[in-house]
Amino acid sequence: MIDAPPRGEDALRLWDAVQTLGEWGGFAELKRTARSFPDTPMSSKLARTETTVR
Amino acid sequence: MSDRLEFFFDPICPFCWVTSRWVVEVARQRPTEVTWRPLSLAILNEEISYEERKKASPEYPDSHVRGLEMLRVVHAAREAHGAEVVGDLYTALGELVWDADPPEGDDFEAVMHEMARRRDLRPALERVGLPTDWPTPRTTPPATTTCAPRPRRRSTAAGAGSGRRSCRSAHRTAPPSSAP
Repeated sequence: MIDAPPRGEDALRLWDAVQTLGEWGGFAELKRTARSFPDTPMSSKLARTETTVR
Repeated sequence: MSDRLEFFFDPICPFCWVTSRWVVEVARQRPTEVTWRPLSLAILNEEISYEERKKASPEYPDSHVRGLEMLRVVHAAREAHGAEVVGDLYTALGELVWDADPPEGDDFEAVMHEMARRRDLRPALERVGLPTDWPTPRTTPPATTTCAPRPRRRSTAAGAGSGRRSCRSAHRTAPPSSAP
């Protein structure tokens, strides 16, 4: 889960990281509590308010 | 060589939406072959009680029904025009929901209310150049609604019933045969 779509070079950085983990033979799982309600125009008043945990 | 990815989506899921926009952003910059696959939260969560979710917001189940309605349009579009229309139609449907102005309130309830609101889906179809004279969730006749919102709401209120079972089997057997 991510709370907002990364753009440009950041999008590729995250992609490469996920792909690396996904293709890593011994990698199994990773878990962290949700950071925020997803940040979109419609949900902009809610995202990163009391829902934020980072 | 392009990366290949299957992306399962429900247009009403905000996490799906932001993740899918990341994938689109990656695909804009690198050769990426994405297969967009409908996945209904309403059907996926069928075996899980909505009681806890309803405590967070009473409109939680309705929001998932909105997603199912949109996915029925996606499925019809794929049947009629091929899998290549699915990604753009998801974008158009998702923008109808997530690029809209924020609702009045600033809490979870307000956002959930907006998610659960019925909306005209025709602008999304028009945006991707698809005909709008198909049955949409507003106008769908009962004959094509094996898993229509009303029976689902009834079964949610009354617990598992035979109606829900037939609804599930209808949906779980149909999509794979038409999958790309």
